[in-house]
Amino acid sequence: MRIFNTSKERGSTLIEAIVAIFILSIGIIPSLSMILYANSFTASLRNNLVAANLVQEGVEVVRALRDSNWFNGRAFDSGLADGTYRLESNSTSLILVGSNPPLKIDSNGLYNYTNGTDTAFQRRIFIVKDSTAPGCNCELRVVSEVSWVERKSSRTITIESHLFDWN
Amino acid sequence: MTNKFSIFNFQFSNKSPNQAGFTMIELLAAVFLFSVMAIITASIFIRALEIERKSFAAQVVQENALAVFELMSKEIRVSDIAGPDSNCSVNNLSMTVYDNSGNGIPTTYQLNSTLGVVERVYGGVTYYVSSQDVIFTSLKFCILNSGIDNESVRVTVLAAISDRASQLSTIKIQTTTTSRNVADELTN
Repeated sequence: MRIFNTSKERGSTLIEAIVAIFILSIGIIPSLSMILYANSFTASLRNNLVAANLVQEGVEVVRALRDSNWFNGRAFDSGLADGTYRLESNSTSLILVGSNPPLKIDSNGLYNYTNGTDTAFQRRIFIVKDSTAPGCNCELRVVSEVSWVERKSSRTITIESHLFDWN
Repeated sequence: MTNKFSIFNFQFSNKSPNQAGFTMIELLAAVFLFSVMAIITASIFIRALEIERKSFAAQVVQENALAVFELMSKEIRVSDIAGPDSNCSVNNLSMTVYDNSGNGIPTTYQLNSTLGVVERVYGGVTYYVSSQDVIFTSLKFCILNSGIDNESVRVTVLAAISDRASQLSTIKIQTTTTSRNVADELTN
């Protein structure tokens, strides 16, 4: 039995096999990267859902503060001066943003700033009194932003609401 | 007989040294490379299946969470919220929802903890709001400023949800909704 090729035997050579494997792997690399991309997408779907609800909470609480001003006969923008703030679901006034610590989650599942373990989410509220509104100085632009770091890249969800003076 | 033998001879003569074939080393190398690639490919494929299942689960959880939160938010905005205030530990939310004719209908949201499904009791009839594909492991409500107190009612809904099939991980969602119903406060 001969082990080595003679000039008369013409099978696939080792080089050919390596080339074939190389081409095969070129086909596999894109599919691998696609799978990794899908994986990151799954993670972002979950974080997006949490963040979307937290960002909505930001605007709703500012609205509650505006309503409270109205019920109590204060100016509609009392305590809602231009600036950047933080807030919790039960806040009765805005908190200055400071170093903007991440939200914590307590044993009940409540996102807050006092109890529990840190989450990835940070929330900021921007308030701008919109002087461009025609005819009156009665419009507040409220922007709520939740940002988090995911796979070393920063992601943000922002929503905007316009609150008016009812009087 | 001679005919058969001659065929055999013919086949045998085909396997002359001129015929192309693999040498042993080539065959071994090819099998080795092939098996390496096959193992890598198979593991990628298994991982892809796993990820596909995870992302499908995440999708189902998202759909259910959106549906439940949207329905609750809509009703919290326009209904009378019954007190008392609660510090995020109660498991149900009672309110009066007004139908098209203006009749107040008592409505309660609560968690059926055996099934892990959110229930909406509307006028004494129980409806399931979430599907059985997901488990709500926890559903809590914080009610703030209920009653007539010159503050609009604020309800914070806390939910922990996982999918039923794989139960891979639990997602904890929170949102707050402010009541738009000002009629009661104006009676003050």
